[in-house]
Amino acid sequence: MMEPLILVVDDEKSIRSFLKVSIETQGYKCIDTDNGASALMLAVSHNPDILVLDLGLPDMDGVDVIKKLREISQIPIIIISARGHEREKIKALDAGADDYLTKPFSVPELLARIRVILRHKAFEKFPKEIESAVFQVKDLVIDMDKRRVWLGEEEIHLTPNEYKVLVLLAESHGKVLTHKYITEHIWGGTISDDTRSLRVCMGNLRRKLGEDPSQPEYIITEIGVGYRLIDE
Amino acid sequence: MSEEDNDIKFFKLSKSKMGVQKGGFYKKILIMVLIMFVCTMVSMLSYYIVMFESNIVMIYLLGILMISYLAESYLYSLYASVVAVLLYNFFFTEPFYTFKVNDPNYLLTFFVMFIVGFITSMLTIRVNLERQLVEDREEYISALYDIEKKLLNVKSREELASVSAGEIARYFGENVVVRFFGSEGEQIHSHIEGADVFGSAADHSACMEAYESGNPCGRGTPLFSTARAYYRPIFNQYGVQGVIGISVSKGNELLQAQYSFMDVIIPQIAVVLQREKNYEKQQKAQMEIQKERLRADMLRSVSHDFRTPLAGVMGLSSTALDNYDKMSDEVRKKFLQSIYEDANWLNEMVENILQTTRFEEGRVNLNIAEEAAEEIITEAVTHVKKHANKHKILVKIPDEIILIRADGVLIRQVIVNLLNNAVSYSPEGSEIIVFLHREGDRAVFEVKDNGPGIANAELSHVFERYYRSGTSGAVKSKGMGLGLSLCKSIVEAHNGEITVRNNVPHGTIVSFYLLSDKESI
Repeated sequence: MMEPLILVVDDEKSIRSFLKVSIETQGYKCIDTDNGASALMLAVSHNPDILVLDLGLPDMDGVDVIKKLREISQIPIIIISARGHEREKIKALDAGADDYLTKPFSVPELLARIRVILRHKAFEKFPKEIESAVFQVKDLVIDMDKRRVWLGEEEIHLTPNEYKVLVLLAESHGKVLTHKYITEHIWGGTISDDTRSLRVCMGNLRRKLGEDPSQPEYIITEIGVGYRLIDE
Repeated sequence: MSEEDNDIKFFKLSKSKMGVQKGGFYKKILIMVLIMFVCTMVSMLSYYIVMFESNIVMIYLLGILMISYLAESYLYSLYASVVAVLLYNFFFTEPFYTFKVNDPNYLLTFFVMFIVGFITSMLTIRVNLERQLVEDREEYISALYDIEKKLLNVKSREELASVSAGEIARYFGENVVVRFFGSEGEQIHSHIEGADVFGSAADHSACMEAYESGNPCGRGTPLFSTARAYYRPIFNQYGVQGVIGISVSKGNELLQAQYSFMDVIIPQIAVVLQREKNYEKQQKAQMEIQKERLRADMLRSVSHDFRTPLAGVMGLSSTALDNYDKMSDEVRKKFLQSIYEDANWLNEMVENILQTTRFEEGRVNLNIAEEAAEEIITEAVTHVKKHANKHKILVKIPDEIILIRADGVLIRQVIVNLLNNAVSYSPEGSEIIVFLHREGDRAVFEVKDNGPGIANAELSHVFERYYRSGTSGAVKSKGMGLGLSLCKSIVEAHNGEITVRNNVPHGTIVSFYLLSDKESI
């Protein structure tokens, strides 16, 4: 099998260079560019496995790059953007980006995100049945057939909504799911009250999973963006 | 009394004079009849006892004088003189009790008596009037002086408006409006004394016309005469600064003296207004200077704060470059670790500076959403833990899920700053506790450390911009004066409050609260 190809788009040279070095040390191939137009071209011509995209590009808005790219391709996209631009991140995620990182980020974090996406991709290539009906990460076990959840030896009793949220997160484990995405999938509507229900639901879920508030083990909160179930 | 005299007394109208003027007719007739009756009685008495005629004329002359003195009117002194002559003729010249005269000598007596009576009474009245004129002038001048003194003592434009409106209203007995305008023609202050009768369209137009043309408008002038009030511009060498409107409740226009009163008083108002404007300008300039100084302080503080970690990064990396081959892997790794930590610190600082400038420029849009307080804490703690692995950071949250309406990213920044401060100012290996609880409708956040704490004298200063605690010599010089002041700005923008106190036995507790719905769960 060919090594995965990763396209890095950032207008800052130093960032591109250290990303390239870090990505190549993982055994992936890497190409890079500093603007949106050539990013779209390279994405079409080289068909990379993952696109790492900085939202602040000199020639066009990163969100537009995502929208244009989504018209022709389903390449997974990881966004990089400065903190404080939460709305932009949500816009990018809703436009079809798969994950995001806040600048300045640590390289191991980016590599972890890349691994998550590659793993998800690998699953998609094979027929669904192969995917186990049992999801496990650390001590958390979700048996989707029996609709039961265990933490180690102990079974956890969840309400239907809590279970649905947990399964939703598990299906995209490692990836951030926006509040909007979750509420739409669980409650269906987009009533403002859903945010409240979601917060309470997550709070209860965290308590049932016995999360340490200073160091959550399973569910990571991304303030202003959404939630993520850890992957490794 | 003549029209002119009446005018000068305009500011006394509310007092007693008017009543005397109006109800005076019967009273004066009564006075005249009474005095003439007394005169006649006395004359009769003296006539029948001593039979001395010339005294009688004197008595009547005295009567005329008294009447003119009391009635203060030429007309009445004329009446009195005529009546006196007739009475004298009727009662005391032969044939008695008729207006006939036997002795033609008496005709001269009558004539002289009439002339003397009339002239002396006229003189009396004149003296009386002059005295009153002097008195009125004095009162007028002292009133002006009084107003001027009050005007000079005002402390602000608002006070100037209310004092001038109040004084004019008091002396005129009318409703008064004072409006001041800014340089762009916008109304900057308005004060109404008495009832607001200045609201009609005609009044509004008259006022604006007076402002724009610089001429009096409204009632009693050719322009907008349907208005209920008279408007006069207040101007100085820089143009029209405001307008004074005075309601006209009696007659169709104000009295002449009222106009002249305004001629004197309005320039005074203009002068004081200009003084206030100059003062405000000066004040503004002072504030600009202050702001500029603050900005300079910030730059100085920021560059100082930047230099420390930058020096670290530069020193470590240049040493590593120069001695790369001579360094062991372990040392290299340590160097890189230090560079990473310094860069991280720089990043946190940049974050704070960005947020602070956004707050200073007033262009922060709070991105308010329903957030779970514990999620924000967890995010902040995990963020700080990445580089502060030498401290034990504990989080205590209640069983209840506390929801707050807040900008999650900013509140996270507050907690990150508080934690970073706690990390900087407490020894390695010590415990830092983040404590969340509910107090009524408040979600209270506390960050406690057990470092050396803050001296009591400094407690009140820690939220000041660019302030840096000087007590803790043990810690790195990574002070961040902006951090706490930004926290304060953010918390206050959420209608919350942030306070700092000392922990027992030592250390610092910074606590802040945000509002939370009681029935959130």
